[in-house]
Amino acid sequence: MSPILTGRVLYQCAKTSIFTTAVAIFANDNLFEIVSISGMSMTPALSPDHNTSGTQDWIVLWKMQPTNNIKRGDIVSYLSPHDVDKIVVKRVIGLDGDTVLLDQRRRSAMPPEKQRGWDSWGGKCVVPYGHLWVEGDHWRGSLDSNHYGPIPKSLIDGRALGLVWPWSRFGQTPWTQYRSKTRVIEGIAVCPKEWEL
Amino acid sequence: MSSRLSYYLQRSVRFLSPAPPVIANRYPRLHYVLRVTEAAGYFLLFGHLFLTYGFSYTGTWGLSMLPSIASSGDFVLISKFYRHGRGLEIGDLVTYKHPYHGDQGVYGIKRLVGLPGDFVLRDSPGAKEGVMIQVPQGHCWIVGDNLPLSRDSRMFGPIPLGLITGKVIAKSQLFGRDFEWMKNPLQDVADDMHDEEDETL
Repeated sequence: MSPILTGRVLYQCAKTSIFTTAVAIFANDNLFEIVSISGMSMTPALSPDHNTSGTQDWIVLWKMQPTNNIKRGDIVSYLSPHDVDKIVVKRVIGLDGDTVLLDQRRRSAMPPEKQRGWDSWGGKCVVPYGHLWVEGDHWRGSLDSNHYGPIPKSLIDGRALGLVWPWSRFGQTPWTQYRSKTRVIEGIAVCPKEWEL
Repeated sequence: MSSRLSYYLQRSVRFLSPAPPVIANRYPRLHYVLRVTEAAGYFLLFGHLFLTYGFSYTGTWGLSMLPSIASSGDFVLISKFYRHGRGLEIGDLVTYKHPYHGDQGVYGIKRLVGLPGDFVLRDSPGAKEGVMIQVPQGHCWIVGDNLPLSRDSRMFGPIPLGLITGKVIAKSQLFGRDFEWMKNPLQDVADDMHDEEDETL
């Protein structure tokens, strides 16, 4: 029997790795998650160089009750309504009760079959109770609420806290200075009578 | 050279299998408290992971799933392996986060009637114009068994598969009494035809 790889050592290794994995999964689901922003939909706030050099920004998300005290302009992550295996990061433009006046400029950047979906809103949308209107900053190629409409708050996975990579911008929140050009008429969220608990 | 190597190997072995800490000898009660806290921590951590990714057992209330699930007093065993719609079939009972109140921790149980691409009746049978719509990609259509008293996809539309949290695989009364597996009640049409052929022969 080798004096190094005793059963006891293997047992300790297994115990430590299982424990570490469990803690990592727990922390990832309930506390913090770090995701990379791939794609151009959130430039220039996030991943501004993705088209040129391919570098991606990494952000840290707060996972605990992410829609508590959510504000217009926050960046959120959610599972894509069209593809449940994809995580999407976009900005909150409208809260429930708001009327969102759809941005005509975004329509011009869509392919014709997607323009039909945009047209079906009739130019504006009242965000229902418990939902959010999310949009990517880059108007020229973002799959967001302009395609699939307002998303339920329960679909939101996390809320962005800050950048972790690139190192030069660690801790910053470069998206807070951004003012969306989509016009929003603010409203009050009221639960419809038939949906009260 | 080999003696240095064995020295470091022995040091790492000792690191991996530590001796009981000195604290156990000097402060036995504190050591006991620490061990209990550690065990409680493990229990909560693995318990939470088991409930989120494995199985959970919870009570239900509500009229929308009669007669499959009673209005109160029934407990259901939920398998979380079917999260996000993985492996679900039409006719399964699914748990989901409520599209209006899900961020407040409200969950529901309904029957899965439409997967992405399927055509479903938008309203109750016989009501309105009898319009059929196609379930969009990434969404599903859920309907309660008690049609008159159920608020489901006929009212809030298709819900994203990301809201599906699991599948009900069994139900029971309190403390596991009258335990029964909830099987998918839908049969393939081909099975029915096969039985009729046997009868005529």
